Amino acid sequence: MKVTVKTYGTLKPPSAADPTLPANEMEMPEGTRVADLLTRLGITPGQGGTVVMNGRLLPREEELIDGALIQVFPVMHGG
Amino acid sequence: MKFIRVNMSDKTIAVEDVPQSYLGLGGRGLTSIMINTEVPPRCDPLGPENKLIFAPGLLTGTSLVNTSRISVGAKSPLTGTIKESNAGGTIAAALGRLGITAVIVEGQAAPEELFLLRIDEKGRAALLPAGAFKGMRTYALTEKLLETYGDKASVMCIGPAGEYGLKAASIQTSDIDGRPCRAAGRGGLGAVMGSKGLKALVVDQRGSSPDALADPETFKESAKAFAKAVREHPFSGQLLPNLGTAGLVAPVNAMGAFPSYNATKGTMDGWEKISGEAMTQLISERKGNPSHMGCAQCIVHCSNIYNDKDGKYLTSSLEYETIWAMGGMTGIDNLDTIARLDFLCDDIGLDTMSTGVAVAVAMDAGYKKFGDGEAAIELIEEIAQGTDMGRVLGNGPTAVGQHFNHHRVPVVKGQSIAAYDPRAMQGNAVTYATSPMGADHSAGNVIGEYMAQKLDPLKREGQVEASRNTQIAMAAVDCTGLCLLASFALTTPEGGMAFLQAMNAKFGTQLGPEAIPQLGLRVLQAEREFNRKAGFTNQDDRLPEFFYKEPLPPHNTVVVMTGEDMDGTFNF
Ligand code: SF4
Repeated sequence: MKVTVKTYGTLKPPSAADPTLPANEMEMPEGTRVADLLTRLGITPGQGGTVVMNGRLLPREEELIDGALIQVFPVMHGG
Repeated sequence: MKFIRVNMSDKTIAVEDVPQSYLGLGGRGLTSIMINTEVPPRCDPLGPENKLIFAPGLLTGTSLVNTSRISVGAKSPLTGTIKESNAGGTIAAALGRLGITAVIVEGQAAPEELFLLRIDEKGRAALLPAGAFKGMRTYALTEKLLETYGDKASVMCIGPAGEYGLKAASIQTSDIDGRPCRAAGRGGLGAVMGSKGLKALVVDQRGSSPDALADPETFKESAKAFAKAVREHPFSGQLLPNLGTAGLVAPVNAMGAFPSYNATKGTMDGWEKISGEAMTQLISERKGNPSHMGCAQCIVHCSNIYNDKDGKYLTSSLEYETIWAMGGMTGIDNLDTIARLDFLCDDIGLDTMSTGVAVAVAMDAGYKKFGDGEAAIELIEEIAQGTDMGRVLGNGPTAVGQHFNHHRVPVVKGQSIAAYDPRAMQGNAVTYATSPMGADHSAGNVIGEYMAQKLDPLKREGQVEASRNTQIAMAAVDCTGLCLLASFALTTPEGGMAFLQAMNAKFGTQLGPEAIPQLGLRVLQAEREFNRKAGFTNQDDRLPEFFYKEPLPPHNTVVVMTGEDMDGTFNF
């Protein structure tokens, strides 16, 4: 499946993980979970990696959906 | 450890040792407990019985990083509640270096009188006539004062809005470069300062008589360890130096919780244009500074210097809450316009949040169009000019709602909400409703819990506890002088331990980790007690009706937290 992945703040863009694809696109096997995506993006647990899919916060064990917009954020608090 | 008590009625100044009953208190703990003890709860906030208290934190004036926050306390003319408004800059450290625990401004000067309070490098305080500065805006005033008293002075002052007694008036304070871009914005405390007849507080930064440390060696070690923890935390060590608090624009929009167009939508159209990412790029292109040290002793550098398209200074310390109030709420998606509005508010001495929301309510009522940046600039200039409409706006969103008979006014206890819609972040609904300060973003913001995936922002479960715990933690942090943005290092074992050790090394105490929440509880209890005596009841701990009735897109949720939830928040 293909998903659109956008990273924000200090996180590296998906193209850094997979330069063969268009800047924000990622090709993933069916059943890919949030945690797998974060690993693919090279995001360590310390950096956070809050994932929002189609406007909803997604727990790490959740599966990604084909064609979804996925936004990934570093650790943040209120300011 | 001394108090400087300034009586504006008879122009006397008394220097006293901190009395036993206030020992061990600083920052918000001191201002709130003192107000609860000394200010008649039902007094007129703009009358002689109110007191305006400036208190650096418990660790301010030491070498510990990021401890340059000042608490300004009084009974608020905006909310009628107790109020602590917190600001950065350099003045807290200046007071700390002089061993001044608080400056307490009492009484009231005659209506035509205006003074400034000057504290020199030896800690000597004097009230000086300031009639010549009447009506002056804060940038011109600060420049003038630094010219007179030298660039080693710190300034805290009001602009025209404070002199008019407007309820959205801020107290501005100078940053590391001597610009009055830091604000004790919330609660209309600029109006309290104006009502006293005090235009400015000027404190020399060269003091060398801070309170003695009980154990200087241990203090030094723990200060080093704490600095390391702040640097290593991904939020204070990486995100904030790069994007500042504006980094929050993206996730909060993505989560559908960015109150836009006067809180009728949870995602702003075109938010990417005003995001932290966009701002940082623009600032860098224009040779500003996206990673600016705003406050004394800061190693985080969340501040910025924002230049216009010609590379000339436009504003400094453009922050998330301002971008939201002046951008999201008004539908203005132009960063230059938002930066200009930020500068104007600082210069006139206005809280950017209350003012932006006031403009948004006026737009929602049909007075101007959403997105009209020119109109917003004109409206804010009207506040400085003191026109009738300017006074309505300058009194904040509630006044605007009443003026236009408009129902959608996002405030609690008269103070506007912050940049997190309570319908899409239910824990912040609890904080807005129950904080003794009225709706507030720094009194117990739960967003960190959502981003760490500890809690679902849309569900009722766990929100009361999250709000309660965060409110207690923030009340404690606000006592210490530590910047909220560096305080997340306290949640790491090394950071928490180092900080506690520094406290103990300063005061010669043996406090354990439980002492921190205990302090927070004590502060909240005093604040709640004051509000009760001022006439507030549980019924005031509620959000405006529209938050329970009008669903917020994209999630189309309303506030689900019940009255019982709110009433059970402070179960201590
Ligand atoms: S992080 Fe920002 S607000 Fe906090 S002390 Fe540094 S510059 Fe000031």
